[in-house]
Amino acid sequence: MNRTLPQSILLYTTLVVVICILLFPVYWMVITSLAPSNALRSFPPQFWPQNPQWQTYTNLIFNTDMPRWLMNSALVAVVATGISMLVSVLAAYSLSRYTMKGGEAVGLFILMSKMLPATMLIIPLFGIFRNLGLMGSLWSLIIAHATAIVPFATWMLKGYFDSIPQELEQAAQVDGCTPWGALFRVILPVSAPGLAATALYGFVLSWADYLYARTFLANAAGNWTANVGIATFKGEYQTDWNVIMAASLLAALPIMIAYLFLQRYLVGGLTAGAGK
Amino acid sequence: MAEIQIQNLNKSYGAFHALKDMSLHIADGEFVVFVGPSGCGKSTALKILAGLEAASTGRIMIGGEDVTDLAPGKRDIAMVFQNYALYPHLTVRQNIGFGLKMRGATKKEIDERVERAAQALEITDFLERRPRALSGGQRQRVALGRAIVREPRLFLMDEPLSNLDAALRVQMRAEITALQRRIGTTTIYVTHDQTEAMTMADRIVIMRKGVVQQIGSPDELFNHPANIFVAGFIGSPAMNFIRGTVIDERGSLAVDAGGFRLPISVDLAAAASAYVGKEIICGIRPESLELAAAGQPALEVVPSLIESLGNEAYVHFRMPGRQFAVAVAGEHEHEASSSGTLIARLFDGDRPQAGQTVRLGLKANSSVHLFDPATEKAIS
Repeated sequence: MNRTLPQSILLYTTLVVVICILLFPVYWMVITSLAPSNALRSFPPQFWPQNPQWQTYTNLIFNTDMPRWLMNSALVAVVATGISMLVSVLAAYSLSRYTMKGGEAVGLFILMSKMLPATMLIIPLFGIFRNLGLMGSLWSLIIAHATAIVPFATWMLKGYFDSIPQELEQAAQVDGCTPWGALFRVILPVSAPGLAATALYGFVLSWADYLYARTFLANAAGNWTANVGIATFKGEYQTDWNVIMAASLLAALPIMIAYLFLQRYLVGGLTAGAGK
Repeated sequence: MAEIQIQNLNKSYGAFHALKDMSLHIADGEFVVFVGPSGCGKSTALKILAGLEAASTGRIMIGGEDVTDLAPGKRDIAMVFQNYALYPHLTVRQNIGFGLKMRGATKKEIDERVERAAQALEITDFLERRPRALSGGQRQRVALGRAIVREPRLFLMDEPLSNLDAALRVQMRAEITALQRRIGTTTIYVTHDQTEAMTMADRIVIMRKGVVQQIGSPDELFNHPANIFVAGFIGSPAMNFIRGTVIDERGSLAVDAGGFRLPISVDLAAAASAYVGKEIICGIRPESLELAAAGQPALEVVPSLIESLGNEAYVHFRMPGRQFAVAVAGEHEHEASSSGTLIARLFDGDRPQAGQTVRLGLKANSSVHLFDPATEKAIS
């Protein structure tokens, strides 16, 4: 579509304004993390600190448990996402391809469990983990996150599998694949964009969790995740906002990297060319 | 290559009987086309043959081996799908070689056979491309390549040309037929297009509502249709059906359709004699009609539409007076193909003007088909 000049100006101005609004908090985090802690409430505000305090970052990395917390967060997010994907792929595929008695009810039940608020699930989960002796263990968090990721991931993937023509698996079966072979050799590679988007969703959900981590890991400082750890920088009498902002940026970094890495899969259209 | 035996094949989905007692013997190297309107069971039959659906009852033998309960990959068949079903994440080379790889062929063997298939189909230039970078016709060739590369015992083709434009369809039709004749693999081809069936098949199996209506060569089906459905389905434009009464005119039988007198040929006379004085349905091919010469028995009609195709014209008209035309299920089961309108196919020189009264007569030596109105079966 050809736009007139005024239309283009309006469009790009709107885009720039929206992007500025979206990026402002990130920018504010960056300059807060680099400013000396006593300069935070100075007026007029500085739009770039005169002496950027890079040592805030080096301190965080070398003199606190931040690297360990990040590792814990990564471990939990990767394992929870991995387990969830394994379960969801199989559940979504069977819901998409096989008609079974009560299949629809199962699908609705999964969807309904997604609607339950996390705060409602936390009490039964607490009881279960305490009885299983998992309190303070990273497994408690992995299982809790998986229960939150699986329902959503199953529905997301079911929608994706529904859009893939069944003839692809049929062709694979005629070519000599078993139904499992057709799933792993054809359907999953073709579903890469859907899998990537779903995995990223699961990863972000797990990475961003504070509620479950705070509840299940409170008394196990060695197993804290980044979000629980960062919260401890807020003291009763004094809060180092620059340290909190620097830590938050470090915690946000893996998500940004994950987005960059998965970006090429997130654009759809890989199934183009399968059919007519 | 192998001969195929289909024995009493049935398929039901709950109360719906999709395929009813299909039995068929296909000779080694034969090209058989299953044709019929949507929902006639032809694709169901093909899927059962491929092993993609289980038969409710019945048996399938390929090359003397009972494959009824074998998985698709173990039947040594290849299938070309309507939407091609190419693997979008693989290159053309990988797509064609996929089946060989699954069967444990060596890389060298795969490469050699893929090259050979690609040369046969003239797709060597696209081997490193992915399906999305190919046109419809090229995708179709890749799908064929994937089928021929394994040298299976049986080819199954499920409406492989229906996604192509008209010109390409005609070209690919000829290419598939030539390819099949060259490699000689037994082939079952499903289509709803009677022209494809007529031009490609050694034998046609025409189906309706899960039941085989007639099995025969294209000529047999065209010249000796077993019932009204087959007569109306095979041939384009479709056969005209007119209601009439059998009369005996001093020993020679004819049909009187509202004053239009249609002679009954000698070979049908014995069978038709049982219907003297009774109602009957006559089938007349559009090309059997011509502009009547003066004095020749003729039907006077006013054409409602004249479609000119250059060297020929389709003249649409209605029977005058009573409603004699018989509506017959056509390509789409729920629609009647001849909703009371009849067609005459006139060639050069026989070109009437629209709005003008036209006298149509039956060409000499052209046959009139007779059908029993109750059973719809051919009288012969």
